[in-house]
Amino acid sequence: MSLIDKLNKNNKDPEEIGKAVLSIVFGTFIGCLTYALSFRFHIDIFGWNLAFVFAPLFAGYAETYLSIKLMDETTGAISAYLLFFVTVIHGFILANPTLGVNGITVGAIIVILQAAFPTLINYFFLVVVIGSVSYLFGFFKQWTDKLYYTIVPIFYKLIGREFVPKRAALTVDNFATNLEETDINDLGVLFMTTTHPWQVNVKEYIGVFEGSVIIPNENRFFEIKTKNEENLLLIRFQEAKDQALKQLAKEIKDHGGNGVLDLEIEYNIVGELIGDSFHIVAKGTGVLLE
Amino acid sequence: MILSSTNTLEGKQIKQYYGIVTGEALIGANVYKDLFSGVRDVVGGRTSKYEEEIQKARMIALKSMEDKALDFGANAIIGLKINYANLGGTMGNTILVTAYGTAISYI
Repeated sequence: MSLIDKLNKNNKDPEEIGKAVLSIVFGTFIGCLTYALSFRFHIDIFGWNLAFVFAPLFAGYAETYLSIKLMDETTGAISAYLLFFVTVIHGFILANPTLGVNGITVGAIIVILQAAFPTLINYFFLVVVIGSVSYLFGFFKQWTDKLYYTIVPIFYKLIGREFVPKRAALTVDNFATNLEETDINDLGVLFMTTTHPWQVNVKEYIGVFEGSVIIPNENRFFEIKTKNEENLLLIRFQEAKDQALKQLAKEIKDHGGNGVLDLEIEYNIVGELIGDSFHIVAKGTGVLLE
Repeated sequence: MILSSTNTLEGKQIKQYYGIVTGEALIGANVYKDLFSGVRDVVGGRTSKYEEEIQKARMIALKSMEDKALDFGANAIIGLKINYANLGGTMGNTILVTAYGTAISYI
């Protein structure tokens, strides 16, 4: 139970509160002592005194150590927070009132705040700042892309040359084709994902077969950025899967089979270094069903 | 509609096999979603946005597969498999969710 919980209780134990206060005072004293000694002996790196970090740290440690000894529980390192205010007020206002606002001051304040409120400051920098910058850059790129693809083709037209963009957007024309209407279950082969066909007899096991299709993406021709491009890629995958199944069915039929057991469909990436081509495989055991 | 990853349905008699039925869904790359999920991994906590997206994609894939089975007149899908393929690389964290199984009718 923390000190705050104790204070919230109606039946406060004065002796316990006394021990808690003593621990906080002790921690604060140790922190102040650390801070004073660091200043006295100039324990600093490039003019930045390490007391800003070590004073709150030692204060919290001393307070926690004593509170555990006295009460067998922690008081929440309140002295560390007190030392945070002490160091900031003394270091930036009293000891160095002419410090002014510059890069070092801002950096020092950030480091101190980071030591005092790590989760809050980390969240601010890693989520809020980086998120905002990413958003702004994305917005900037969108506008410059728009300008580029509007102005440059006009320029090329004026000089009588054909404009070929380095990276094309995924469109129906350059990538996906229409799905064929053929039903994959209407090819004379019964596809089954199970390992055994119940109520149907297997007359003969023919062997393991597979059908595979590569969706090429050499030189990283396209990127998926929009919902429309995403839908086109999905259609391409569906088409490739049907092609792989058709190949598999053809292989089995050519070998005298009319069914597939333990059918599996896998989607793999190949040749990542030169681009992400996709390998779609349909494999299973070819059988002759009665 | 019964969905089962087993080879058969215990206590039921399979009347007819209709063949394979499939369903697919893509979770597109999203810089902000990726970024926030990454940060949440660092500072702790669950990457709930991804969980939601993956769950949504799985539901779409399963629904699409079930609709195809219903078109056949099937009342169950056995040997059901659900796969998650990270398309990675230039596709960012695009994930392809696929569901497929054997459509049957039982009595």
